[in-house]
Amino acid sequence: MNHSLSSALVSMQSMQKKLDIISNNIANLNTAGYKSQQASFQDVLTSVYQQPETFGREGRLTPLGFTQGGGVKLGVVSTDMTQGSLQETGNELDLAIQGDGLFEIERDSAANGGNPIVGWTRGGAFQLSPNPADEQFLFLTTKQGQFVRGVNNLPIMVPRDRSIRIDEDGTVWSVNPADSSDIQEAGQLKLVRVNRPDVLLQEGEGIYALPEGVNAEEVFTLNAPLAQGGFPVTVRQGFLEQSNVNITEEMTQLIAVQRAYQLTARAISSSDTMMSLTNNLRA
Amino acid sequence: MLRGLHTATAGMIANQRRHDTITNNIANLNTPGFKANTAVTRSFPEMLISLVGGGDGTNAEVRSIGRLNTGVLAEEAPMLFAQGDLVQTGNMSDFAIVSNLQTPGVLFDASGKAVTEDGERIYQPQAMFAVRTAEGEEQYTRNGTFTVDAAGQLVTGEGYLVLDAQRRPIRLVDGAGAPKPISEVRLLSDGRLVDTVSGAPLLDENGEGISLFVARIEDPNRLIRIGNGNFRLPEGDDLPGAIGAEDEVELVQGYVEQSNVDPVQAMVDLMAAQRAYETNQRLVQYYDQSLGKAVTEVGRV
Repeated sequence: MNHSLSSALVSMQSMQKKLDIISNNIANLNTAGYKSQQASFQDVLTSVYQQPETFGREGRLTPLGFTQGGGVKLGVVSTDMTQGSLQETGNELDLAIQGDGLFEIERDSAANGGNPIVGWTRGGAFQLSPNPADEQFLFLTTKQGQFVRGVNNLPIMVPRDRSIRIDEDGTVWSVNPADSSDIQEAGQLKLVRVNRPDVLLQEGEGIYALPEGVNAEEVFTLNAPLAQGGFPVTVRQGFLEQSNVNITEEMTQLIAVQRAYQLTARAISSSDTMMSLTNNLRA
Repeated sequence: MLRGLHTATAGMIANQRRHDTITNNIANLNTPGFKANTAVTRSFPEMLISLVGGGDGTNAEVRSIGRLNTGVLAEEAPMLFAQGDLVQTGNMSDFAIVSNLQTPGVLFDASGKAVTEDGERIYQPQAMFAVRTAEGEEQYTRNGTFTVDAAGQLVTGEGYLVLDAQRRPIRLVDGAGAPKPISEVRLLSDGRLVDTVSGAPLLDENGEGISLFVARIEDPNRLIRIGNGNFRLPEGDDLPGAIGAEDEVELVQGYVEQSNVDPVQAMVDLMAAQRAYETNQRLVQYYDQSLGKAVTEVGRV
C-alpha cells in the first residue's frame, strides 16, 4: 500500500492550516489589541506493522513491529498574550492595559433571557452610548456596543457633557470641562489578571470567553495593587495597545512551513511516479 | 519458477516502506521534538541451494552451488536521537531539553553510538519529559510545547499530565493555593520551578519544592513511537529513573527543540528509494519477459 501519498496529503493539509494562521497574524499586524496565534505541529502515527517473534533476530535494535508514521497534524494552537507596544492617540476613551490583564464586558442580555453574557477583552477603544432609561447618563461601551463593567459588576455610566479621566487603577472620574475642580467618581473599571491564558476561547473582535464548566476564579484574579503582591495591571488613558505580532518571526515561520510544504509535494509526485511504475509492470 | 521474480517484488515492497518513512520525516520537518526515522532493510534468511542430478542422469550426485538470499524486507525504523536545535517561542509554557548523557567508560560518536572492545553496540541514553495519559500510562516526550489547563495543571497538547520529580502532576499554585500564572513561574536549568517575583520555590501540598521530572532512558531504541510526539516503553520494561546530578542535562523555558530531520538528506533518500523501487520494477519486467519467452517460444514446434 502506498502510505506516502496519504501521509503527505494529511501533512499538506495541516501545513496549509498553519500557513492560514500565519497569514492571519500578518494581516492583523496593525490591529489594535490583537494577540498573535501560535500553532505547533505533532506527528501522527497511523499504523504499526506487527511482526512475528521470528523477526527478533540478532542485530535488531528496536522492539518487534515496524512503526509507520502518518504525517503531521496541527497540535496546540495558543494565543501569545505578551504585551504589545502602546501608541498615543490622545482620545480620552482609548484605554490600553499594561500587564496580563483584561477588561470585563457584558453583552447580549436580550438573547440570554435578560442575563448578560460576560466576556473579556483587551481592545480598549471604547465609546459612549446613550442610556435609554436615563438621558442624563451615558454607558461606556466597546465599539460593538458591549457594556464595560465596573468592579461592582454593573456597566460603567458617566454623566452627559462631562469629560472623563481614568486613573492607572481604572477609577473613572467625570470632570466638568469648564471647571476642573468639579470632579466626581463614576466607578472603577473591572480589571482581571489572567492566570490561565491557554483556557480562554477567542470569540473574534478581540473578545475572549470561558469554555463551559470552567471556574472563572481559577482563570482570573481580580486586579490588586502592587502592595498586595504580584504584577498589577494598570490602565493608560489616551493610548491604544498595538498588535503584538512579530513580523520577522512570522516571515521566518512562513518560509520554513512553505518549504516543508514544497518538499512534501515532491514526496507526492515521487509516490505518483512509483504508482505509475507499478501500473506499468506489464507494459 | 524463477526465484528472482519474488526477490525483486520483495525489493519493491521494502523500498516502498523506505519511501513511506522518508515522507513521514519530511512531513515532520517543523514538528517540535521529532526524531527522524531510518528504515533499516535486511535480507531474507540465507539458504543453501544445490544442484540435484549430474551429467550422467542418475541423480546420484548432489552438488552444492552456494548461498542465496531470496529477498529483502524493511525490518525496523530506529530513530536518530541527535539533539535538535532550540528555537525561542517566548511562550513560558514551552520547555526544551538539551542533553548529552554519558555511560561511564564509553565514548559515544556523533550519532550516539559506541562499540565496545568485545564488539557490543551501546547507544547513548536520552533524557525525556515524562507524561501520564488519561489511562494512567507513563509516556515520554521531547516535545515540550505544554499548556496550562483550567485546573492549573501543566499538560501536553492532548491533555496528558506532565510529571514532577515524584511522578505526580504539576499544579501551578502559590503557597496559599491561589492560581499562579505560568508567566510568573521560572524553570531553572536543573528542573526546579520557582516564583519569578520572589525567587521562592513553587511548593506542592506537602510543602516541598516542585521540579520537572526528566527520565533517563538507558536504551532509547526500546522506545516505541505512538504519535503526538510521545513514546512508550514495551510492556515488561522497568520504568526509567530520573537523571542524576552528574548528568549533562539543561532545561530551558520559552524554547522548543526543533525536529532533527535534515531536509537535504531526506530529499536525497527520497530519490534513492524511488529509483531503487524503479530498478526492482524493471527486474520484475525482465523476469516477466523471460517467462514469456519460456511459455511462448521454448515449446514452439
